[in-house]
Amino acid sequence: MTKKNVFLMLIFVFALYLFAGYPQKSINLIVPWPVGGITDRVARALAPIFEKYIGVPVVVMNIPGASGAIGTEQLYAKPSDGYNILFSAETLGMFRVLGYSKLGFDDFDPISMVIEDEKVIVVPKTSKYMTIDDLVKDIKNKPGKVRMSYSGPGASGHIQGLLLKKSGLDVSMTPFGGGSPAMLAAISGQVEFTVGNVANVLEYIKSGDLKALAIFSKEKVAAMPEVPPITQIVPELLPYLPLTFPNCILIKKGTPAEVKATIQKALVSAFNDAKWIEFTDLSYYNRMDHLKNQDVTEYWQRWTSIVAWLLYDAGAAPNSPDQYGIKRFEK
Amino acid sequence: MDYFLSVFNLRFLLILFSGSLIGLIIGALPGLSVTMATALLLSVTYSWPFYDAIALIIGVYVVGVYSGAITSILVNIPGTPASVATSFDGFPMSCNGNSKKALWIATVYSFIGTVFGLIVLSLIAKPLSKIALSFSPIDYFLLAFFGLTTVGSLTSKSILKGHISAFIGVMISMVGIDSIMGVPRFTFGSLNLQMGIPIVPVLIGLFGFSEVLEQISSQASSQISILNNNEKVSFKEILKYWKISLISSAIGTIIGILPGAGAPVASLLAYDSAKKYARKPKIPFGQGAPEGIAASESANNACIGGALVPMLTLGIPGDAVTAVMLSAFYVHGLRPGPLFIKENPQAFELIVLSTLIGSFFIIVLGFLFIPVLSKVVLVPKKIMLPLIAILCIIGAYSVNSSLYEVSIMTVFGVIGFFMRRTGFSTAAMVLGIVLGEMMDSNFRRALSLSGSVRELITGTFLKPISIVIIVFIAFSIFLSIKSKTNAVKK
Amino acid sequence: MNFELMLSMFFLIISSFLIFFSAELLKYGPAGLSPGLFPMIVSTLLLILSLFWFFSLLKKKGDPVNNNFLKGLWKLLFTIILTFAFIFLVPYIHFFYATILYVFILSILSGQKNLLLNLIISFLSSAVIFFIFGKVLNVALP
Repeated sequence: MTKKNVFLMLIFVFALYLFAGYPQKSINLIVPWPVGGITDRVARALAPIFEKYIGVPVVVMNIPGASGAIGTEQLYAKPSDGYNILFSAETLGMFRVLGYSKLGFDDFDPISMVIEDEKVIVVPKTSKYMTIDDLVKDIKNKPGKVRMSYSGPGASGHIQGLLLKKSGLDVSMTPFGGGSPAMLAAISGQVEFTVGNVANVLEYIKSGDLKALAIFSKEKVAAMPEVPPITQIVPELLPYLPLTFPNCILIKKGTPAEVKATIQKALVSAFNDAKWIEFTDLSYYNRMDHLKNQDVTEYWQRWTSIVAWLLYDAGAAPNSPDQYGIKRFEK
Repeated sequence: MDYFLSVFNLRFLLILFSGSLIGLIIGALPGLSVTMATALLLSVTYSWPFYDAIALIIGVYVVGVYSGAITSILVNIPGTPASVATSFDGFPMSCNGNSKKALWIATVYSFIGTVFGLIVLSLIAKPLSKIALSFSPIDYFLLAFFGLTTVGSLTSKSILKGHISAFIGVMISMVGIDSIMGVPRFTFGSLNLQMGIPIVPVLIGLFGFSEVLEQISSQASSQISILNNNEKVSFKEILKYWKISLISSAIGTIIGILPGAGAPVASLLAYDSAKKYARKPKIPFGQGAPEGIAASESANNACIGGALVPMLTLGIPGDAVTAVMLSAFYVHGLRPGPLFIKENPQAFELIVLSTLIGSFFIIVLGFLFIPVLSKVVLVPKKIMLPLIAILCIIGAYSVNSSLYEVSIMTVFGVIGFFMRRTGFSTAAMVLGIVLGEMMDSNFRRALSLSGSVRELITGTFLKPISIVIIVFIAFSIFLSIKSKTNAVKK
Repeated sequence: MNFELMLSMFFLIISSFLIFFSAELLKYGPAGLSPGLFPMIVSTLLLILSLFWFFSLLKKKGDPVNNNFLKGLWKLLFTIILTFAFIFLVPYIHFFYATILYVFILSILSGQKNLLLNLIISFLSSAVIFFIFGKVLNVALP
């Protein structure tokens, strides 16, 4: 080979590299939650399917801590080149008022919502409550005595409990440091009820260990058609619901438009993939990927205006939402 | 039965063995956790048939818990938090030239522990799941409190210093965001501190890195230890400690069943009970007593069987690895829950079988590698120490891919160094770190459930489990005082 | 000055600080549920134990226990600084080179006299580590 040929080849290869575009190396799907958790589970189911369509390995990286703040901040510190994608839960909307971080949904560029899981009020099999009426009546008769378990501050069940309180139902809330322990507390009867995810409680309802009393929403749910929506008995909740806790995929602001478009295209294909449909159906997750880009931002704005004030008013969050320009939710 | 025979073929065994090998390496390397490896494998085995995936993961799990003992014994760095207690006697024993024997004891008793947990799982899983259900926050509090009363058994010198170490450990465990009220504690505005002080870098620092620092500063001998060439390891002698092993395995299984407590707690409690109730050992505990290794390793492997109980009977993970395994179930379309065993008996059989074969692989791998591993102590220090130091750094980094953990490790390495030189027990500090947060959050949880202190106290004395633990606590305190006054009398 | 005495005074100061910070935490929530409850209890116990220790040391007098304490402190300091330097440098020079340097210097500290052998070992071990951890095990390396 002559020197000139070698040189030309090098230029060619170099040009290829320059024009090859995104993506060229593996993508990190950052999950700011521990391995084996509910959010992680969904991300890990999505990753291989996403990988199929984007063409490079998609590696799930768990960076847990501070209800997702640590992982989110770490992603924020990385360059906006599209090689790090955030698989966020809903807690990003609460970091500011909780004082964990100054980041919020508006610091990121949303690509798509992923899934949400409906919440359902369940009681242990030995419970004296047969219907949601019984439960609500008992709460009204014995304020502060009926006990509810929830996962932890700002986490699953907490918001629901606070919403109940806001609607005049004074429940006693105890955090159990995780979704599983909270569920366990309900099954064993250590608390009178809990608010669980439909996907999680189905098995316990089948086995009879738990009874479902009401869906925490305006409408019924396909998985449990006989269970009434809670708004039938507690109409005060209507203005706030539906209030769910979807996962979403975000990237840093400032990512080049072509990169974003590539990610989006691959994700759309992934969400339409048969395996993904199968997975989400089996788990009774609601697919939310019809919400993209600006829709996602608007969803979270409404969500944050409810939840941030809810937390602050209840004394569960030290920082006032006013500081961050979060307006109170108008009913 | 014939379904299972059709699965039980050479390929299945090969996959299990690969998992075991991976577990051996990952578990031994400090900082690299079995949980992390399992998570990685989850992605790798996504498209595999369910049974293959589970076989691989279980292989890693079973051998991974065991192999933490290897580095505990050889270089005083626990490969996983569960093997901390193994280093208390494992390392001294190795330093006395009996590394081969120490490694064999760890191997055999890990095997026994796993099998014990398995037998319990397969025979009385359903009734045992009731234990997981009836353990309420106050019981977790009492358990943690009980654990802390065993501090005395971890310190040979000054009880006062031991308690100080333990209490500092408790304070360390409370750094981070409070799980009850979401309030940051002792974080001084640092985002990293908000996630708390992670235990794995602390362990690596307190035990491994501090050892490196000590060796560099004191320049005692040129090798880590001698090798007793006449050392004949007879199986009869190793099996001498079966009684301790049974008790430890029982402890391990029960603690494993509790979702809120894991292998580190089990091995520490088992170690303490061995110290208190075993007949006077030839070599005292803390200086190379084989009983210590037997207790610790039986307990932490028995946790496996225990952790599988709530996972399979309730769909609730008993520890971090079972949580990942549950994810594997979901990914492959299975729904764990109370009906799982009834609806999927083959899957259940398969899991039990894989764990059983995995435990046999522990012994097989022992045969293959112990002769080589035991010679590690002969490598000259000037080569070993830098390598161990790098290992510590990589280990700490691999926890969360950030240098924060490496700094924690270094800081605790320094702390550990000074603790040794001033007579403070690092083991006591570890006890405090492991149990502190459990004690704190569960007390407040219990109070929240009862409504008032009075109701809490009266309610507690009405529950059998709580009463049992209280009796244990009283016993424990009594025994500590008795041994202290005995020591004073001498 | 007896080292142990100084150490016990150090603990007295630390426990006082801890009590102070715990008191701040007691602001939150009713006392029984406060995140400051156990921190306060434990830091108070620490203070009490430190006082016990301090006074028991005063009673004993003399007997400076720790000649051993000061042994090799320079080497210790150097190792610590070296380690932090390593942590600091890794993002700048690649992990591979930083490791070679680290192992090399640390080996000297550990008594390695043969410099050539040292260099070879440093290089080899760094390569092996990089290969095994980075490629085979796919562990994240700094």
